Amino acid sequence: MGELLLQVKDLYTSFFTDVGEVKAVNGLSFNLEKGKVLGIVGESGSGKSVTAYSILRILTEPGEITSGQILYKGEDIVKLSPKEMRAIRGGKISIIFQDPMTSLNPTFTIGNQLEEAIRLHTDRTSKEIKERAVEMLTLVGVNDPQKRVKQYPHELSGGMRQRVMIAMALACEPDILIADEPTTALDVTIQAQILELMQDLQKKLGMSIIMITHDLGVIAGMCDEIIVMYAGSSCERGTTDEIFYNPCHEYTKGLMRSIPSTVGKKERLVPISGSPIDLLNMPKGCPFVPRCDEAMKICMEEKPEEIWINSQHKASCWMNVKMVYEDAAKEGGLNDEQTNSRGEEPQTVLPD
Amino acid sequence: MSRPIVEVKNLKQYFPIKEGLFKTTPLKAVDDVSFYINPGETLGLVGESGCGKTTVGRSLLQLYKPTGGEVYYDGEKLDAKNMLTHRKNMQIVFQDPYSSLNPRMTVSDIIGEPLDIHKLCPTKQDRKDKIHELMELVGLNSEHANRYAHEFSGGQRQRIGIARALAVDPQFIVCDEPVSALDVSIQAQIINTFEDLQQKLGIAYLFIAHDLLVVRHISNRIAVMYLGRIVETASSDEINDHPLHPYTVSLMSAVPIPDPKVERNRHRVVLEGDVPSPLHMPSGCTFRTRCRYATDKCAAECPQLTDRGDGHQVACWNV
Repeated sequence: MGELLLQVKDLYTSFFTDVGEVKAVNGLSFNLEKGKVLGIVGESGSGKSVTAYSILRILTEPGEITSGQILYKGEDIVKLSPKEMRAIRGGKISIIFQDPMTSLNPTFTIGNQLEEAIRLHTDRTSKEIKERAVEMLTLVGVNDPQKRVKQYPHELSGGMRQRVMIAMALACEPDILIADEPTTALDVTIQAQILELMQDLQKKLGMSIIMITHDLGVIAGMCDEIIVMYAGSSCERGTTDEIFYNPCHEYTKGLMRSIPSTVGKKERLVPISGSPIDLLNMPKGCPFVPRCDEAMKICMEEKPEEIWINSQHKASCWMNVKMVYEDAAKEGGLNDEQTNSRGEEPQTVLPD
Repeated sequence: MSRPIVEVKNLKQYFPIKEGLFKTTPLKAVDDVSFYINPGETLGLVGESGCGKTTVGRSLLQLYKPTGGEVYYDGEKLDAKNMLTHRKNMQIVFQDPYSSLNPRMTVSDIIGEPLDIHKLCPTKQDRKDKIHELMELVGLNSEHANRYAHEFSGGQRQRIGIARALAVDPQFIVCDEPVSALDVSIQAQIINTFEDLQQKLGIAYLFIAHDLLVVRHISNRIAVMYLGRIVETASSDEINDHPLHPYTVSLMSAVPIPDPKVERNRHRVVLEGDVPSPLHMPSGCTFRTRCRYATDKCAAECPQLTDRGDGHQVACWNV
């Protein structure tokens, strides 16, 4: 098992709007190990981006972390002062935003913006900073970096701008890179370039990546572990293979059925019925109940707890609890050993 | 074989772009595009942003005045005069369900407007019944007819857009990226709606999208566009299994596949560089600046679509 870099424990983030409290992140927990790529997948409004903003503490009014811990190397960064947080943000944990068109400042040159990021986190001389900026642009595959540092964002294409964003995020050699839908705004051939670049850099620099996306294809190719989010909490998490080949939550199963298959006969898609949940009116039980075909009585009344499917896989769905009981009933009653084997947490964190 | 419902011949659409005070350069958004669509068939049109997919859809419907070329509906050539009558047969569903519905109109007014324009419903009761029927057809609750667009979710709004297109009983609909703005689970619902309607009403679609998985799923045939030209066209299985044009090959290999084992063993053909500016297009084959097989001939002369058997057409000197 690798070194634990980031632990998010029972995170709650809310937006206090005029019409009521919107619980964007609702009791999310996960661990990130050194050198791993963690994927967070979910539909719009599921709280993926808010999770990222909470970790970096860049939530805007009226958003607020209401409870929970975010431990970076054992230190709770929720409690840090803004000044202490500034040293971590961009230096130890950095982010690439979705839209490369709007996340660069149009009034400063590329070099200016890159150098600022380096200057804030290192004690280099201005000559060294300039060299570092050119070096970073070379690393991310921007051609003619000497010329590019003097250009403004509007002179660059979308793919090039996203490369500049990556260069900026990696300039201070962070431990964790959060990529918030880094390729959603890009064309598919450019997306392939950027994903390949991110994978190369991850291997070269050994950082951890939190990859936030709604595209299951992107997740499949890049990530070691996956969290599937729905209505602000994790409905299922585990290794990539477990999530794709052994989905145990009705929402994950529904998502997998919703994507057109790539091989074989074209079968009719099986969509998830209904529309995404209204975060202002969350149901009492499982948030997925209104769209779930398998919903039982207990689903409406009680929120399912996260249970271990196996040592690499956790899901929050009553169906899995029901299956434990059914299996047990077949074998003549539930004994202590069986409740332990599936109902309680084994003494490991998700291993490799 | 039956006569194609829509046929496009050598369609050209140039936009004049001012460069400096007196000079204008034509931006060749669509350059010499030809295709046909049979009744009840779906032709998928794919390509990256800026390749002219949307412009093809709009010029075809004469929403822009084409610079050159002809469009035939059921054998009849379209022009400004007869287009009004043909609008009844040819409709469009737009990409963005948020900006393509008037926020100040109720759903029944939005769906009813084409009925009023084409005077299809003589009495008020007829109109109301027709609107309710259309709403049920696309999977909306007809009790919501008096609501405004903002009261609906993205998927439901797209259904309103589809109902509006269906109001005049068209035989052909241009679907301009109708599912791009929607979440995966909702996307599947709308794709199914399109398929059901096609089976029920026999409508032909020109399905424009950049998501190749979706296009492959819904289309009978696919045309791949690059910088205003169609570079390859074939049946959707053929394009998927045996792409010939180097651009199609790299486009197919760039699509992330939601299957970890497949992804791990994949060999990607990653394209270098960006799409050239359509204002200053390369000579000859427009793809040659990013093509690994480019030769002198590619720079000198632009390849035309040629048939490679079974209706599989490719525009490339090297395949």
